[in-house]
Amino acid sequence: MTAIIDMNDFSITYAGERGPVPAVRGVNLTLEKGRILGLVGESGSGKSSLVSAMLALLPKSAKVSGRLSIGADDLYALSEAQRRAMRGQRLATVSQDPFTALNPVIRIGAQLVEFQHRLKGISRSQKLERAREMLARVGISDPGTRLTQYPHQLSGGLRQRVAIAAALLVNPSILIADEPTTALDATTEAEVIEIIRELRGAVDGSIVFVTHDMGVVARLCDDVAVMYAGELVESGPVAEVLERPQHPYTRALLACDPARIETPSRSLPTIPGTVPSPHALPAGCIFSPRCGAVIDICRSVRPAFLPSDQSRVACHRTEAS
Amino acid sequence: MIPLLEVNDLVVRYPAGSLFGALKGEPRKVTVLAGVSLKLNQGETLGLVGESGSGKTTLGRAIGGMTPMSSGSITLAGVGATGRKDGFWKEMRRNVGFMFQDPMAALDPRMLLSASITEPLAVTGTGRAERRRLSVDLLREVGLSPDFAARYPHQISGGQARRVTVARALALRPRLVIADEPTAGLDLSVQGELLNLLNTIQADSGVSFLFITHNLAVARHVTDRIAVMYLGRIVETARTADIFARPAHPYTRALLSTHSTDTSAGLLKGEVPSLRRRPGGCEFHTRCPIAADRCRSEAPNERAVATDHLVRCHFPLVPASEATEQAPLNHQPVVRSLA
Repeated sequence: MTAIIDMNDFSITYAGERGPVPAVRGVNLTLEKGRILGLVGESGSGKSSLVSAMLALLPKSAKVSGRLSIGADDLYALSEAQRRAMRGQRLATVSQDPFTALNPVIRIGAQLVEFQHRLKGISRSQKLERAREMLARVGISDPGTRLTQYPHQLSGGLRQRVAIAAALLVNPSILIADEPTTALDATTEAEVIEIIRELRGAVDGSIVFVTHDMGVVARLCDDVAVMYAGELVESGPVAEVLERPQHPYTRALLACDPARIETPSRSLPTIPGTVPSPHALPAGCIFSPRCGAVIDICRSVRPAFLPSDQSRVACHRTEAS
Repeated sequence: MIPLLEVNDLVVRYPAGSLFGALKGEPRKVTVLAGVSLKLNQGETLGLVGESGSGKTTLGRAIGGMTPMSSGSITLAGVGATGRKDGFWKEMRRNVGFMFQDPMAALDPRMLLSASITEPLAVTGTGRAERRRLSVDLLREVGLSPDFAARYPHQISGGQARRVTVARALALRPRLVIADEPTAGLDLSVQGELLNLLNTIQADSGVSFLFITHNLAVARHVTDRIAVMYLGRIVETARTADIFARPAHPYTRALLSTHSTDTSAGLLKGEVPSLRRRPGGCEFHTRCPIAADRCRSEAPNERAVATDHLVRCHFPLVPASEATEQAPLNHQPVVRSLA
């Protein structure tokens, strides 16, 4: 198996008014070719920063350390121009909001041709034909007509499918879908997820699916990585992590999901406390102030991210057992 | 028992379309709610579920008198309204609290939270000092410390903003709170806290909730009954447990299957039809997996398939012997009133 994404002690720090903001700290994560990774975390977990880093879209104020490799290339050892070239060819994204991802005043066909501007040696009409084929592949009926339409003439679900088609047109080795279904209805969401599952073969590489919905992870992904307050706390195969979560945060998060609670209840579980501010991070384990299984060492020593069964977990309690 | 809220054959139409369209024979009005009837008891939570464009929000707004109704009637706590008669609405609105969809947009960025929370009290002529005192009480009720009274919306988090809108909804001590997607966009752990808060408030005060959501997983835990909406009609109403255990309408079944890992029940194909070009017959037939000829020509009446379980379908998914066609209650069949 070849690793498409390989992160080694990767950190992102933003320059803030009140001093540096360590948004992502020491992430170790490997994604192998052909797999779908679910990146899970609540607000402030750093998942959006991590995704921006994978897409080489971090703002100038961000400093990175550690290594983030895409295939054989160390992304942040490349020049800005080389990174930008990767973005149009090997990295593609489907964003959260299908309503702003497309230009409202340009026809769908012209936009889909424009997405392919880095593909050399084929004519405009060939590009248009590729666009038409791709629209058909994402399940859009009458693709010829759609090419001549404007985004406002399409429903949200259709627009998100156009966005997926656009991303796939460049034959990316990584497709990053950043909560692509949050703006959609349940029935449309199910459709979009089905399309991504069917088209996974069309991506000659891997898919990273950012979500906060564990149900989506279970239906779509092979691997899952759970982030909390800027750190990766647990990663592993979906079946393993969802069935036998090892980190107390993963457990708490799964326990909170109303869809996973069998008996209807008027008193739903919550995680006491709040996510720490990046300006006032606790010593030791990042989750220790809210953890129900906390022991002394948790408050002073940051746990290492170690293999445990088929997963990797950052928790002192797992190491002890 | 007299229900707290009774909505009868409520129709809401908006003017729409162009003169050019009218010349081509297109309707000049779009029917957003096509004859909705529902009942809600004191202390009960009714979940209103459906996709975007199904009319959930419009129904909530119409009940609060924020969207003028075209026909039908609304009765709340014994006070009825049939049109735009202001006297009725003024009396009714005292009994209704609102939680709007986007809490940040619902709070005036230049108003202190204490002023926002107690703004509904302006109608009762409550003095300024009294209002400030009440705002602290309300904040405490929703689990926020009194110093939030002197803050502005940009100084609080999304979860806290939700709590503030709960406090404002309670300011008039209403008997009904209409909560429009109260947990949309919240993290799972915060969502649980807010739902628990709403449940505690209901247990303490006996307030009723009209809970508008598209999240069935949440609705399963916090509602007593569920009404499923499609294209401005209620297609199925039942006790929450029955909706999940024995969904009778094919649309309800499709909605439920989107949340399970088992998608064998089949995903819905196609798009929601446009409100301006409503399909004939049963309006769901264009996407229905079991549609037959009858569905394309004849609109189904509401019928009872079990106690408190109403469905608008020719072929409800329950044993046929149990299904008995029910005569329309006290109004004409909806289809005819639209013609």
